[in-house]
This record gives sequence, C-alpha cells and structure tokens, in this order.
Amino acid sequence: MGEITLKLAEVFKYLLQIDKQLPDDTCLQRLLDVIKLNVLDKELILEASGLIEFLQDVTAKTNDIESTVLTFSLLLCGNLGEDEDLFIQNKDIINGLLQQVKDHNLTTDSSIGTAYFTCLSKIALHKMGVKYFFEKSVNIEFALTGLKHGESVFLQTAAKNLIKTLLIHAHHEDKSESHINNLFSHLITELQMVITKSNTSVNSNYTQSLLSLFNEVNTTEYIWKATTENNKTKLLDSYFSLSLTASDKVTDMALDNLKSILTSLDDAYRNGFMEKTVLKELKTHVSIDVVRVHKISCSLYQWCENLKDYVELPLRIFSSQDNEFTVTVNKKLKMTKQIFTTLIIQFICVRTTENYWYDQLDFMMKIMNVIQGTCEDEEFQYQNYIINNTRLMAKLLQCLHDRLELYGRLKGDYSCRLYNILVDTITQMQIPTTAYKKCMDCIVLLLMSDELCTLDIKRLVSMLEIKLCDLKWEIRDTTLEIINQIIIPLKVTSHSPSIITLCKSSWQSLSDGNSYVRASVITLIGTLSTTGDLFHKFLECTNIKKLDIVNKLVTVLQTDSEAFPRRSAVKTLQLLNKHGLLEDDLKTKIQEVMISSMNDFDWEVKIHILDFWESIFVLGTSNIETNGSIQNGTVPPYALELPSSSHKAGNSKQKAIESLLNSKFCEALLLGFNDYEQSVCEKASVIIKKFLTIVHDDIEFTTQNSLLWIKKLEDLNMESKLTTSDEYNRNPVSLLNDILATAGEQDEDNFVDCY
Amino acid sequence: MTELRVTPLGAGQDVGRSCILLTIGGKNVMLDCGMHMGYNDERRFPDFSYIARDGKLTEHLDCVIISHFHLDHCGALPYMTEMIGYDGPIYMTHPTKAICPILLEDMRKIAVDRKGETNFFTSDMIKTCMKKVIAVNLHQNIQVDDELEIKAYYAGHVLGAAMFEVRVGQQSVVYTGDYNMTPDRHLGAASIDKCRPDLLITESTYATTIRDSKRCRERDFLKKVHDCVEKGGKVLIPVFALGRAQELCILLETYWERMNLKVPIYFSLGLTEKANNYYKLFITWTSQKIKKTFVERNMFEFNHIKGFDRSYIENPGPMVVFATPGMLHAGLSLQIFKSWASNELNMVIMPGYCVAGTVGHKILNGQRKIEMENKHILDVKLSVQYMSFSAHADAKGIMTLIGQCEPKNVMLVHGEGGKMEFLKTKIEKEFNINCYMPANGETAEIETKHNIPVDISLNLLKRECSLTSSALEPPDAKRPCVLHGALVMKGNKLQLIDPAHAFRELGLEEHHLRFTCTVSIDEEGPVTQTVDKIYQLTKSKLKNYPVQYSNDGSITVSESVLIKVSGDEESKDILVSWSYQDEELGSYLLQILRTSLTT
Repeated sequence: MGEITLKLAEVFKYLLQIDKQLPDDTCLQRLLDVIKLNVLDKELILEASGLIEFLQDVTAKTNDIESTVLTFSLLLCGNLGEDEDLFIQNKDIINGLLQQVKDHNLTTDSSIGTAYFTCLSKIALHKMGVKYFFEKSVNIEFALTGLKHGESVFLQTAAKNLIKTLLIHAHHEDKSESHINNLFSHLITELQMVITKSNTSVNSNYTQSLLSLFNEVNTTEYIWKATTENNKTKLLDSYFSLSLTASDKVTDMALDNLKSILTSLDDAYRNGFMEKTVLKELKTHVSIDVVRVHKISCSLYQWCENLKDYVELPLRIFSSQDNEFTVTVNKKLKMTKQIFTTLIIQFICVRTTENYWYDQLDFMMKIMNVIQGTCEDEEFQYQNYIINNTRLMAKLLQCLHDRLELYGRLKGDYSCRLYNILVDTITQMQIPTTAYKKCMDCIVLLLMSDELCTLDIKRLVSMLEIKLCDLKWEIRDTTLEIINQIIIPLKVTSHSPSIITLCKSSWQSLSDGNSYVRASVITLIGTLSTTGDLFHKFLECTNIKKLDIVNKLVTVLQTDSEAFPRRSAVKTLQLLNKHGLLEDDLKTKIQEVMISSMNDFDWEVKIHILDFWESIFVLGTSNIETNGSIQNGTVPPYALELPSSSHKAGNSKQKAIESLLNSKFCEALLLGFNDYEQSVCEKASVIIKKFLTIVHDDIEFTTQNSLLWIKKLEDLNMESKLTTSDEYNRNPVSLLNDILATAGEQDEDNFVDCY
Repeated sequence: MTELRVTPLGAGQDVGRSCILLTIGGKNVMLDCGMHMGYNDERRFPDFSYIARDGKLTEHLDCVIISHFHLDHCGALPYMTEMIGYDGPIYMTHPTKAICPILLEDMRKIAVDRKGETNFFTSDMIKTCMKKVIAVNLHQNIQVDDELEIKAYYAGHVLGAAMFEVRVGQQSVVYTGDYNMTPDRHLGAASIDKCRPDLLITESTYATTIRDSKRCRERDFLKKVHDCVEKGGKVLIPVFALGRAQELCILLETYWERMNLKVPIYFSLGLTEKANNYYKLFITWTSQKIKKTFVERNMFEFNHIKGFDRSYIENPGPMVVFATPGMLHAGLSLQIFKSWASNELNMVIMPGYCVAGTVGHKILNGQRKIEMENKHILDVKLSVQYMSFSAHADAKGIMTLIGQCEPKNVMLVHGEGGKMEFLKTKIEKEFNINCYMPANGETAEIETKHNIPVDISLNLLKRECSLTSSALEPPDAKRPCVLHGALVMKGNKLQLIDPAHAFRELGLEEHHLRFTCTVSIDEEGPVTQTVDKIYQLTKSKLKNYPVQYSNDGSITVSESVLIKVSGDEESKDILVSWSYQDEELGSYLLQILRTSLTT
C-alpha cells in the first residue's frame, strides 16, 4: 500500500505538468478505477497520496490544465462526492473545482462538460448532495442548458442523468418537494415548447432527451404520485401531439411514453383521453398521414377498441372490404411497396388479447402464402408489393416466433396449417439465413408444443436433408443446429426412423469444408449419445460402430486444423464416456488422446480436456459419497477395478482415488497447471484444489505412487494461478508506472498504430 | 431530406474504437462496430443506448457495415448482435467475414484470461453473429432495401479491407475505414472511382505525417534481424495471427532466400498456419505481384519458415520466432519472452500497437524490470525494437484519395484531434470544401444540394435543341441549355414531355392565357385611319415579324398578338392582346403604341 501512495503522489505531480494528452486514452480511466478501488475508502492512503492537493492545484490553475486531466479531475471529484462522508469532508474542494470550470465556461468542451455533469450526478445520489443542489439553484438551470444546448449526445445524456438523479433522489431532502414540482413543471413546459418548433435537428435531439428523461422518471412511483393532474394531462397531450407530428424516432419514443402513462391511469381517465383526444385527432389526421394514424392506432389499440377500423386497415385492403377509412386511404394515399409493408408489419405487431392473436395469425398465414406465391384466393390490389418480399417474410417470422413463445400451443388445426406453411417457406423460398433460422425456430416451437402425430415430419426431414447440402455454410450449420434441437422431442415418437435418417445424413457432413459445420456435426453426435435407445438404433441402422465414432472424433481432435471441431470432439467424447457408452479399451484410448491433446494450440480445447478429467473425478467421487457404494453403469474406468458395491464409502473412495492417481489424471492436471495460457492454468488449479480437498479428507494412501503424486500436487503454488491476469487489477502500481513512463519521448507510431 | 448527419460513438478525434452513425436520406447506417482493447469491462464496447433505448437497435438501424477485420473496427459486433439484440443486416467483404471470427476468438481469449467469461460474448455467439453477416464483393452494388444501396472499394490496409460508398437516392457518402494508398509486399493500394460523394469520411491516423519509404523500414528490420542472428542471438517477433505477420513472413522468406541463410525461422502453429491459408484462399485480394507470381509460386507457401514447438524454446543457437499474441500479454509469445529476456544477445521486435497493461506496452515504454506473477521481477536485458509496419494512409495519401473521389465535403475520423485540425485546414484550403472533425458524441450536420433527375423523350430533346442551335453547330454539352416542356410525375419518376402530349396523356383540357391591355388616345378621324397608322407603325418597328390585317379590321402580329381599335371620331381605344408565349413581343408592342400614339 505504501508503494501505491508514493507512486500516486508522483503521478498526480506528473499530471499537473503535462501539456498534451497522454498517448493512451484509457490510462486515466483505469487510474480512476484504481483510485476508487484502492484509495477512496482508505483514509490514510487518501491523505498521503496527495489527491486532495492535486484537486486544489487543478482548481487553482483550471485554465492551464490539460483538458483530459481536467476531465479526469472532475470525474475524480465525482467519485469523491459519491460517498456522503467524503463529500462532507471535501465539499469545499469539490465545489471549488466545479465553480472554476463553470466560471471559465469550460463545459463547452464536450468531454469536460460531460465529466462536469457526471460529477454532479454522483453527488446528487445522497441527501447532502441534493441539499447542495437546492442551495444553488443555478446548478439546475445549468443542467437544463446542457440538456438543451449540449453539442454532444454524451454531454446531453450526462445532463439528463443529472436531472433524473435529482428528480429520483430529491425525496431524500425534506424541503425538496417544491423544487421538484417546479423542475418537473419546467420540463413539461419545455416539452410543450419544442412541439411547436420541432423541425430543427437541435430540437429533435432535445426532444429525444426530454422524452427519454420523462420515460425514466415516470416509472418512479413517488414522482408520478406527486405529479399534479394538470401536469399529467399536459404530458399526455404532449406525447400524443408529438406522435402525430414528429420524426419516426421521436414518434416511437413519444408512443412508448404515452403507453407507459396509459398503463398507470385509471380506466375512466384513460377512456376519456381516448375518446376526447385520440379518436378525434386521428380522424382529422387520416387525410394527412395514413401510415402514422395506423401506427398510433396499433400502439393504442389495447386501450380503445374503437380504433379497430384503423388498426385493421391492411386486413381490409387484403380482403377488399371497404370502410370509411379504406375509402379515405384509397383517395388520399399513394400506396407503395414500402407503405404497404409498413402497414402489415404495424398490424401484426399489435399486442392485445390471445383471441385477437388468432385473427392476426390468420392474416399472417395468408400473407406468407402470398409472399411465396401459393395463395389460393383471388388476386388483390397490392399483391405485387408482397410477392417474394423477403424483408416482410423475415419480419413476419420474427413476430410469429415471439408470439409462439408467448402463447405456447396453438388451438385447433392452427399448428398443422402453420407448420405446412413454414415448411413450404423453407422449401420454396430463397430466404436469407437469418429468416431461415427464424423459420426453423418457429417449426421447432411447434414441434415442442404440439402433438407430433398431426404434423408431416417426413416432409420436414426430407427438406432438412436437402438443406444439409446447401451451398451456404450458414444454412448447413443452422440445419445441423435445428436437427440437434429436434432430436429430443422426436426421439420417443414413431418419427425416430426419420431422425435416424437425418443423423445419418448429418454424419456425412463431418468432412464439410467449413469448421463450424464440422463442429456442429460432432455436437449433434454428442446429443445423440444422450438419447439412449435412439443412439443404439442409430448405430444399428447405419451400421456404424462405436469404435468408428470414437476413431473419427479422435482423428478430428488430433488433425483438424480448426479449433471448433476439436473443441466439439472433446465435449462429445466426454459425453460418450459420461453416458457409459464406451467399453474399457475405448475408454483407455480416449484417456491417452486426452493427454496428448493437452499440447493443443487452442486454449479452449485444453479447457474442455480438463473438464473431461474433472468429470471423471467428480462423477466417481460423488457417486461414492452419495451412495456409499459405486453405482454400476455410471462408474468411471478406474472404479471398475474396485471390489463389489458392498464396500463402504471411505474405503471405496480411497480405492477410487488411488485408481485415479494411477491413471493419466494427474499428468493431465500438471500439464494444464504448467500451460502457457492463463485460463488453462486457472482451470487446472481449481480442479487440483478440489481434488486435494477430497484427498485430505481422512484418506490414508498405501501405495508409493499415490503418495508421490499427491506430494507433487500439494507442492504446486496454486494461488499464483488463481488470480486474475488483468495486470492493473493484479498490480495497481503497474498502471502508475506505466503512466509515469509516458513522460519520456514518444514515437507517434507506437500509439496510433492499431494492430 | 437534404441533410446528412454523422455522429461518431467512437473514432471521433481518437483512435480507440470505430463506430460511426450515419443518417442519410432518412436511413440510419452504422459504420464499423469496434471495441477498445484497453478496457476489460463494458467500456470496451460503444454505448449503444445512444442509438436506441431498450436495445431496440434493429428498429433504428437499417444496416451495419464493417470495413475490415481489425478489432477496433469489428470487435463489438457479436456483443451488438447477440447481447444487445441487433438483428438487421450486416455487410462486410468475403475475406473479412472469413477472418473476423479468428480475431474475435483471439480477443475472447484475452477477455476470459483477464476476467473470466462474464459480460463477454461466447464462441457460439461469434458463430451466430457471423451467420448473420452478408458478404459482399468489390464493386458490387448491394441493395440493402428499396432505397439504400452500398458498394465496396479496395482499401489495402489488411486482407479484405474495403471502403464503402453508401447511397440513398442522390445522396452518397464514402466511408474509408482504414486504408493505405501505397502498395506493400502483400496488398495493393486503395483505389476508388471518381464517385463525387456528398461526404467522404476518412481515417486520419497519420494526419500530419508524410511517412518515410517503407523500403527503408524494411531494410532496417532485416538488418536488425540479420545482425542479431549473426551474433548468435534469438529474435522474437510477437504478432497477431493475421495481417502484419504475413507481410513480415514474406519479407524474411525473400531475404533468407537471397542471402542463403540457414538460421531457422519459426511460426507458432495453429492460428498463423490457418491465417496463411486465408491469404491463399483470397489471393485475388492481395497485391499485383503476388497475384502475378501465383502460378509459378504461391508466396504464402514458405520454404524457410517452419512450425514452432514449445520444446524449441530452450534450443541452443540463433533462431527467429513469430509468436502470438502480438502484445506479449499472455500465451506463447510471453512464454518465449520470459525465457529469452535475460540474454542481451537476444532481441524482441514489436511490429504493432500494444495496449496499456501488457508486457509489450511496458517494454516499449522502456521498462527494464517487469514484475511477473508471484512478485517475480523479470530482468529485461534483450534488445527491444519497435518497428511500425502500419498500413495507414499518410497525409499525402489522404489528399490523394480526396483528389480521386472529389467529395463535396470531408470528415476526419480515427485520428488525434490536434493533428486533424492541421489536416482540416489543409483540405479546406487546397480543395475549397468544408471539412468536419466531430468529437465522439457530437453530431455533424451537412447540408446537401441535389438535382432532380428527369426523363425526357428524345424527340422533344432534338426539337428543343434545334431551336437553340443549328444543324452544323450542335449545342455545347458543357453549357446549360433551356428546354421547354411539361413536367409530369409518372409512377415515382419525373418526365419532361411535349405539352400537347401531356394534355393528351393526362386527359386535360388546354387553357390559354392571354394578356390584354387598352391604350386610350384622343385622335380625330375614322377608326380605319387609326388602324392604318398603327399598321404602318408596327410594320416599321417590327420588321422581322409578320404584321397582317384581319377580316374584322384588326391587326395580327406574329402568331398571337392582336390589335383592335374601337371608338368614335374624337377618341379611340386600342386593345392589345397577346398570349403567354408572345409575352415579350406583346409588351414591347404595347410600349411602342403608348409612346408613339399618346405623345
């Protein structure tokens, strides 16, 4: 600690002298972390480090301090002021610096301005801080100016956070109510003002900041309770007004805010607002902006059924049913592909009741048919806008997936109809990979939730087989992932032969040119090995022997040039071993490979190998501990050498561990411990520690070999490997040295040459 | 919309991580999505909450474009797609898509080493993210949606690096990413069409530097390596798997060949071998020289460079070893460094950037005693050399690119503020265009002016041209020319067509606009006398125009001007009327009548 104090004092001195930015812009941020972690809560270090003197010096010559150092000083003040006691102790210093920065108008620099408001936000977190603010109302005005005129989104956000913190934490201070009400009213007035002149971009940013602020504070119960009825009405009107006129982004924000308020209102108030304001205004606006009116209607439909005519516009266009709204639309709106797509998306995203979801689902299925060109109905007006529209299809699938997850099983024959459409989609359309994945995810959800007998699985299987040969690796890999997902739900059904066919085709992909695909095949085999009978059926039907599988996996582990298949190979071998699917000779073979592969160049392969060894040891010992005897079928190879299951726990454990010590277990751990990769060392150390805990638990070893291995493991210095390898967390002085080292001449290349 | 908005969330007056938000024609595009390697918490990623609340990025971004595989340009992508939830299109070139996962895996390892796998993307997330990427070819027009279009250009810098032109309607922006205007041993120089974008967003890493010849640096590098091995020393070159490693390998391989040296050169196996395969696979993206010689010999199949095994570390005698990772923060390169550091005969050459907190950073700062684990102090006696082989455009290169694509505005990113200021002044002075350099979080708004494209029928064009030029002298293509026609909106397109055609097509009735004015004069005599007088006057003043009597006693001039006289013996009213087409003639005639008859 003494070293930190001394070095810190040196660093502070150095920072006061520099006249140009430090070459590495993260140094000062990391220094703040180090100070927060090692200095602020330790009074002695705080005093001796010269931190307070540093801040005083910065205050005394604010104008001459390098801007990044000034930013750092302000953030340091924030960290200091965050703690109420430290704030009370150092209030004058903090206030002094803030005052200087403000007086010299330095907050126009966006970094300094952001740091200034961040500092104040931290101070406002406690009672004394809030009091400090309301003593100086000028600070609030300054924050409002930052919010309104800040040139940087960072500065605006910092100012916004300050106001938010004040609003949320103001109740700490007894006399704050009037201040808060004034501030809140002021913000509402500001919002009303920007509505009247919202075309300039500066106003757009400001509007967004205000909306974001209201969104965050409105969820605070006490603020909402304290808000007067008049202000609530003003807010509702402002949000609605913005949603009618503002840019897309602001409209979305305004609608979000509006919805969050509507949720908290009582029915009478809400209905009044809907009838008197929303319906009336939308009727007026229909002739001006149909898409917007539709969007608002869709957003608010859950609270006002009278919006149905607007909401169902795409449905009516589709079914050529005219009403007052569609007539207006036909007159006023020049329908384009983009507009029609937007209307459909807005409609399908409406969230109301589960019953209404089925209406939407009917519509979605029709649209999906039209997109694919398989619609049996008569042509409708805008058919050309959606045929082959992959973007719309992707959005439909996303929405469909969300709803299937939300509502679960579908009623009636919906599952079957939807399933067929989805299978058609992947069979007939050239959809992007992301849409293919979404489509398959929907199918999986249907398979998981439905009685499988109603679905045509064979058709899906043959389609998946085709997809396994797709030109794009992304499609092949996604298909394998999907097969992996459906193995479990389909394994106990009459569809198991289909699944076996699929797995057989998948197995051929082990020689795929793409490493991700090879890895997925291996993972699939791993999953298959957990299915019991299905795995054996697979072996029978395909005439593949377990030895073949193990040999293939071992070959991948030893020769594949890419890490992903090797990682999967280790995991699958572990699964095969864990599920008792391997004979002794294969187990021995795998153990040998698991030792030689500890030289792999990929760290994660080695981590998985250590997992493998850990599973052997944990599985063996836990079985003994819980049951008092070794269970047949799940026992590791070393335990098979043990006498019969009548042996008591202590004795069995000793034998089991001695067998483990005679295997390659310790050798693997030692290799891991001495590896050059930190994560591998750490993993090995954790396992060794765990192992030694069990070994030390009343076990007396008899063989020389066992004692030798245990001694070896005990002699290792494991703590050194168990620390985080982040240099600055491990050794904060290192950071201070690094900062001081920048005092020398720098070659510019050194610091700008990224990679 | 005639405004471009650009907000850097990273790379605004710094070189930390590139992430730039562009709004063009109402579309929002994210240019690069980099991470900052200096942090080990969420600060390493851009703060996406500035784009949209609640992680609704897909709703607010129309696409993401990644310029190249360096982590300060693509490192936050899996975080953005898999942890924040962006689900929209992502574009990058084929080599970038192939190589990105390697670098991301590399970074993941570092992150896990530092803090365990918390708040960082997993291997599966990298894969899922890469599946969402749409790979593009150079010069291929990619239609992101009905309005937004992108096109990639060769950028040099690293394998697969590209500059992107983003276009919505007539507005266009070129984003360079990192680029290099001079070819090196394995990559060509950046090049772009004269696309005249509204805005060129260019990197400015070397905003104030005219870099010395790369040949000098290469010579220096070879000399240092040769001197060291000749004295029996070992040379360690920590590298990242891809990029500079390949360039240096070609350099050493050629030198070893030429000098017939026998000292072994090793490359740490695994990543780098695989990396070389990518260079072979994407040979068309490499330099002309490599492409030309490919048939005879693949430059990436090295004769002198062999795979390295850990057991070679303690081998006696000189050797050169390329080992990963490049910042000496962990792994094999650090293990070799620890083993060789105490011998002053040995040398370590750092060919790239090292973030703070790494051993690489410390030795470059001149630290000679480095605390390792267990408080063990490592005495660094070996020679430490820094040699930049950075492939960024220097100030001259940046000016060349501006000259090449002729933008209407320039924006500087990915550089230091102070240096940008210098280049900004130079660009504004030399090219007479606006140059912007917003800091992170600041939004630059750039007004753009645009012509509206109009289709015109060839017949109308020929007819109108014939009115303003003779058959012998066709109209000057460089001068504006006035055309008359009716502007009609058809579908989403504007057409200039013959007015009569327009009336027919639109089913409209033609209305004629006529100007009428009456001049009253006190003149004695019959009306016919006044008519004759006017006829003579008009004839004499408008010699080139046909002036005729009509049956009803009025006078016609040219096609539409009509003069009618009425009155009694003492006073006359002269009514002059003309159509819109003869406005000039009618007004002139009225003026003549007024001045000649009323005085």
